[in-house]
Order: sequence, then structure tokens, then C-alpha cells
Amino acid sequence: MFHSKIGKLSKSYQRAARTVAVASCVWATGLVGASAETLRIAVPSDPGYLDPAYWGSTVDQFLIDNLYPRLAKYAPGDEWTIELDAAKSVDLSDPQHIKFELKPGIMWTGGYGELTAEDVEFSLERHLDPDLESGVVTEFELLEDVEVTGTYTGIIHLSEPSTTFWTSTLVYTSGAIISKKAAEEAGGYFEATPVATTGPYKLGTFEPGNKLVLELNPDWTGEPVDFDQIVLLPIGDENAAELAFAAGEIDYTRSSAGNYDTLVANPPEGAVVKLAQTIDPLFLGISQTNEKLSDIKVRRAIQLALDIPTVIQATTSGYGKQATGFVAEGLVGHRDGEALTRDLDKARDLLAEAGAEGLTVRLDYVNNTERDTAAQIMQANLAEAGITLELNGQDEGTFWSLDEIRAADLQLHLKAWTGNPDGYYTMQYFVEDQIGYWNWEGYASDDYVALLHEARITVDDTARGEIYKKMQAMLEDSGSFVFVSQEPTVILHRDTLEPGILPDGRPVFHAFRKVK
Amino acid sequence: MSVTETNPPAERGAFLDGFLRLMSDPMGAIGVVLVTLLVLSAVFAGVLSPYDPAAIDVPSKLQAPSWEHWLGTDQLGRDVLSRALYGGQIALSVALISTALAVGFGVILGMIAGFGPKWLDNPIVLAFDTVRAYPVIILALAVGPIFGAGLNTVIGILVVTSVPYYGRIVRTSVIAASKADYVEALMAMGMSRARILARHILPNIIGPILILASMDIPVFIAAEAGLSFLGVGVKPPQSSWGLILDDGYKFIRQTYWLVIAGSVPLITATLGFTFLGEALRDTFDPKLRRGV
Repeated sequence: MFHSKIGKLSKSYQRAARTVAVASCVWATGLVGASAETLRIAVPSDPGYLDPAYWGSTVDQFLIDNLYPRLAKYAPGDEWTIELDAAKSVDLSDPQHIKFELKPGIMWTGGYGELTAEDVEFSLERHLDPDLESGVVTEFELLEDVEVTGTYTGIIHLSEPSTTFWTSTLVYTSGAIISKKAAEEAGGYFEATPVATTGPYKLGTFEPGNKLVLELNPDWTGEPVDFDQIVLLPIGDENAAELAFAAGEIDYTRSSAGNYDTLVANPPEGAVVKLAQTIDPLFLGISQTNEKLSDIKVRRAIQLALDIPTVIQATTSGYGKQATGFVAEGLVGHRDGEALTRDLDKARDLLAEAGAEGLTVRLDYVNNTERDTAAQIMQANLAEAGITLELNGQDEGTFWSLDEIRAADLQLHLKAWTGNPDGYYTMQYFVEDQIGYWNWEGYASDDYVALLHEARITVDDTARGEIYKKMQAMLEDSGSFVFVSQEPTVILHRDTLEPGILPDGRPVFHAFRKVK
Repeated sequence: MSVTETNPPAERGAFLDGFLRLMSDPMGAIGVVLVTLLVLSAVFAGVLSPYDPAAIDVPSKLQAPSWEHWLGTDQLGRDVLSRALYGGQIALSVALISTALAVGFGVILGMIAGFGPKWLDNPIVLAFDTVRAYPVIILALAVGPIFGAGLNTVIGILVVTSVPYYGRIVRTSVIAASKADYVEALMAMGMSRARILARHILPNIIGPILILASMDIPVFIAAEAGLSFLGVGVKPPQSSWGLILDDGYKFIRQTYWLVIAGSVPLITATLGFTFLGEALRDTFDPKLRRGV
């Protein structure tokens, strides 16, 4: 879901420790060198959790999306379209009771047999088990149960009719199906070492901090793939990944849109450079639960002191656009022409009214080139309003780790979440239950919850879009959110391959093709 | 009275004589010139800088050197020359403060270990060796996130890791000096150990220590740049040669000027202080002085 979800629950910490130990022992089996059949992809970090109940980082998402089946999924291409995956058919005519039939013959790795409707039942209902402490339980609030009607057939019963459950959950990462038998044998959950997957690739070797190798699944009987193995190389900084690409060490990476002009003017040898528009919202969160920021006047002052167009110009060389909310342009619920504008005088007045002159606050962010650039501009902006901003760049794991102490100490946080074509997906997390988990801003509003409820049962896109607009306006008016942009990104790949990617540039491993 | 009346002309003569000998050594002369330039540029950074080093001008980002910006601009459009000049202030401040504190604590602890109560010697030496066992960078990366990046953290790390070096040398020198006849005579006369240390041993050992310290200044300058490069050191909006180098590395495909702008002052400072330190040693160490 988000760019990382490590350390959400105390139980998760213990799992993390075990994960590192197990992963180091189980997967460290030696180097796999690059060859003509090897596809090398730069990723921002090592994976953390490959259980769909705990996933969080971009890499978790890449791997879960590519290793587990879902009933249907977003298809690679330039448009957001949904295609069937493990399902042979899905009947959405009744948005409260979703009927599905699985394709027969999809086999789990590790000898765990065939994918059946019982696996679907187990995979979805387990999120409701309080003992599991699923990090994405919010996405399953509407689920009542899954009725198994045959080996391959079943009905997903929701408490209310909903379109968003399909678009935001079932076809998205959290809707991944796992092997019931394998999970139960593993104690009900797993971390970075799933024992059963499906699809053309399966996990091979893993050297934390170095690389993760996916190799061909010998049990796969579906469409063949062009690459024998995929090597994921963790390179946290996009500029560093770009240098690695130029040095011939990787075949596919995303880079900063701020580098687009340079890459087009002077591309690395054999490179294809493309600009892609993601739907990932980049936003500044302002924690109203923090004493320094509990006064809405202070939060509004921070909003008004920031020069977001300059941030975007610096980080994307003008290829980005100021966001008006969590919903990207062209999607249901996008707010037109309502971006925040800078008003330094008003910001100073608000600070004076709040008696908060000379305020010092801290900004946490993932320490990469783009975020660091944005943070420094925000620091200069706030300094003009009389606010001292202390910059606290952190590595991905540290940034996304949230225990009770850090949750209470959150102030400002610049972060990007992985977007979903349906804005409901992102906005469902800003509820009271999520404070201390994903609602770092501490936002809580009964009116917002009412709108959220209304949105998820509103089937008509136009009507739902209007609700989303109101919700985004409420979030912004709370002073706790500064929408920065839906980040554009540069796709950099060898001219010997054609990447299989979603419209926002996320890789779909099996869809990568060699250029004949 | 008679001492103050007769000694100053002799001291001025010795200083002038030493300075002339220093300048007659080409390495020493180069060192003096480079260090003087660096110190002056750092002291007068506020006057010499054409722009506010923190002033952001995004439309002018990553420009090559021009008449407006002699060393170009960085990714935020900030003037690199101004940032390099202010970076010199940081570098010299860190180096001088760290050196002073490291020498100060090292001398005190070394003297206690070498001439204090016997039971204190072993624990102090053990502490020295324990700290020295940690590589500076590893220690910095471990400690940095705990105390937070910043000037104080950098200085703290450099001081903690350098004190044992000076302490060990001072301890050895003090032990050697304490066996001299005049020390034994002073002790026999009933002079306190503290007074003997302060009045008679310290003046005899401090000269070589200060020369060693001068040779460590470039090490501290490079360490500050390195720690800032790694994100443990100076934080924006402050400027540092290490931060300029870090930016230069990140944007090397767009422009190489940032790397040059960060490297040249660093190299200049390192060479200048190294030349000066070595020349000082050659000039004032009686064992190395030419013709002696």
C-alpha cells in the first residue's frame, strides 16, 4: 500500500527480527550473475513483509503483486484497466455478493497443490481475525464472509453493496490469495519467506542489502516469459540507480523526473527514457496530535507558508503538477483548480494569533535526493514565516517504523503513499482507529467518517467522485495535510527490452519482453 | 621581574627566527600561504560571498560557472562559491575546536595516567584502547542517529576518537620526563605532583604535541566533510564542503562543477595544513632540524 509499512505492530517487530534471521540463512545461497536471460531491476529497498496482511514497502508490493494470484488485477499498459488473473470469471452485477470462478490447474509451489476457492476464503477472511493483527484490516471492513460453493467457485459477501471493495481491495495488493495449507503450516502468517506462490517466477536467493533473485517456476504452465531470472537490486537513491544504469549494472529503473531533461539530452548508451505520471500522492502530513501543532492556526500557517510550486519545480524540473488532493488528475474524485496558494503574510498573522512565533518543528522524510531537495525548500519557506524547520532525513525502514514513542513525537512528515486508481483506498486510512498506525496526522472527524461510509456504498462514479472531493477538502481544511503532487517518474530501460509496467511505472515482471 | 625584562627580546627573536626558517622551506611557505588564504576566506566569508549561501533560486539550478556565479549553482540554485566560503568556516571551526578539545582532554588524561596515582593508569589506558578500537566512521554511523546529525555531533565524535591518541602520547612523554633527575629532585624537595606536572613537565612535552595537533587539523577537516557527506555531519541550511560533495555526487550526470567546488577547498585545506604541520615539525623539532 504505502511506500513502507514496517513496524506497525509490536508483534510485527518480532516478526521482522525473525525475518532477517531466517531470510539470511535460508536464501543466502550464492551469487547469480547477469546474463542474456537475466533482467536486473533497481528497487528502493529490500523487501520487508511478503504476507499480504503486513505488506508495506514498494518492494513488498512489487513482489506480492508478482508472486501471488488475485481474482483480477490491474493490467500493464498505458490505461488503468482490470484483467482477470486467477479467476476465470467474476460476476459483479450484485455489488454486495461477488461471485467468482477460478481457473483450474493453477498450482502452488512447494507441492501445496492447486489453488481453490478455499484458498480465496482463507486469504480474505483471515484479515478479520483479530489475532492476525492484519495491517490492512481497514480494507476488509465490509467483508462478511466468503462462501465456498465448489472447488473453484465461491461468493464474497459484503455487509453493504460496494464498488470500492473491488477496485481498492480485491484487485489490489491486499487482495492477494495465499495457500491456506502453506499458511497454516507456517503458523498462520509469514514474513519474507512465503513457502507457496504461483506465477511464472518464484523466489530464489536473497542476500539482504545486496540482491533478491526470482527464478523460473518449473510448475508454471501459463504464458511463457522471456527472462529466466529477475534480479532485484536495492538502490535507495534514484540518482544512484541512474548511475548504476549508466554503468551497465541494471536494465530497468525509475529515476527522478528532475533528471528527465538531462537523460533525454544525454541518455546512457542503449537506454530508452520515458516519462510516466504516477498516481502516488506525495504529501506533507502535520500531526495535530502533537502539542506544538495542536492549534489549527499553526497548521494553517505552515500550509500557507509553503511554496509548493517551487518544490515541484526543483524536484521534477516542472514535469510535476501541484496536487489538489489524494486523487490524481483524470481519476474519479479529482479536485480541479483548488491547489493551496502561498500567503506568507497570512501565515505570519496566524502564527502571531496562535502565539507561536519562533516555533521550531521537525520534518521527517526518507533521505533520498528528491525528498531532501523538497525538504530544504520547505525549510527555507518556513524560515521566511519565522518557523525553524529541523530536517530529519531517515532511511526507509526507520522512517516508516512507528512505535508508541515515535507516534507521540510525530510533527511534520513528508511522504508518498502508493496510489490506487480509486481514491477511496488512500482516504479510508484517515480515521480515528488508524491514529498511531497510518493516520500520522491524527485526523479524526465524524463527518469525514460519514462521507467515507457513503463513498464506499456509492456505486455511481460521478456521485462517489463528488464525495471524494468533499473528503479531500475536509482533510486540507484541517490544516493537517499539504498535498504536494502525484509524482511523475522517469522510466529508464535498455533498448533490448520492452518493460511490462502499470500506467504509473510499477513493474509487472512477467510482462517484460525482449526486443526481437 | 628580571625574567620578564630579559626574556621577551629572546622570545621574539626565536619566533622570528623560527618563522623565517619555516618560510625558507618551500613546503612551509606553501603551507603558510594556503592556510592563511583559507583562514582569511573563512573569517571574511560574509564579506567575500556574493550571495546568501542559503538563498534558494530554483530557476537558476545546476548552472555552470558564469560571471554571476563563479562556481555555478547547486540543485536549489544556491551560489556554490558562497556555500564553499561558508563551508570553510564550518570546516575550520570543527577542526580547531575538535583539535583544541582533543588535545586538552588528551593532555589532562595522559598526564593523570602517566604521573597520577598508579591505580588510575590501567583504567585510563584501557579506556583509551577501547575507544581506539572503534573505527571513526563506524562509531559515527552508530552514534549519529542517536544524538542527531549536526556540528556538535561531529565535534563530539572527533574529540572522543582523538583523545586516546593524544592521551597515549602524553602519557608516554610524561612517564619518560618523570624519570629525569630534575623531576626527582623537585619531588625530593617536596613539590606537589600537580605543580611539577603543570610547571615543569607540561612545558617540556607540549611543543611536540602541538605540532602533532597541527598535522591533525587536515584530518579533522576531511573527517567533517566525510561525516557530512554520510549525513552524520552538518545539516542544511548550513553549508559544508562535504555537503557540496554529496550534492555533486548525486547530480554528477547533470554537472561536475559541484564535485570540483567541494573538492578544491578540501584538497587545498588538507595540503595547506599538512605542509604547514610537517614544516613546523621540521623547523621546531630539534632532532629533525637541519644542521643540528
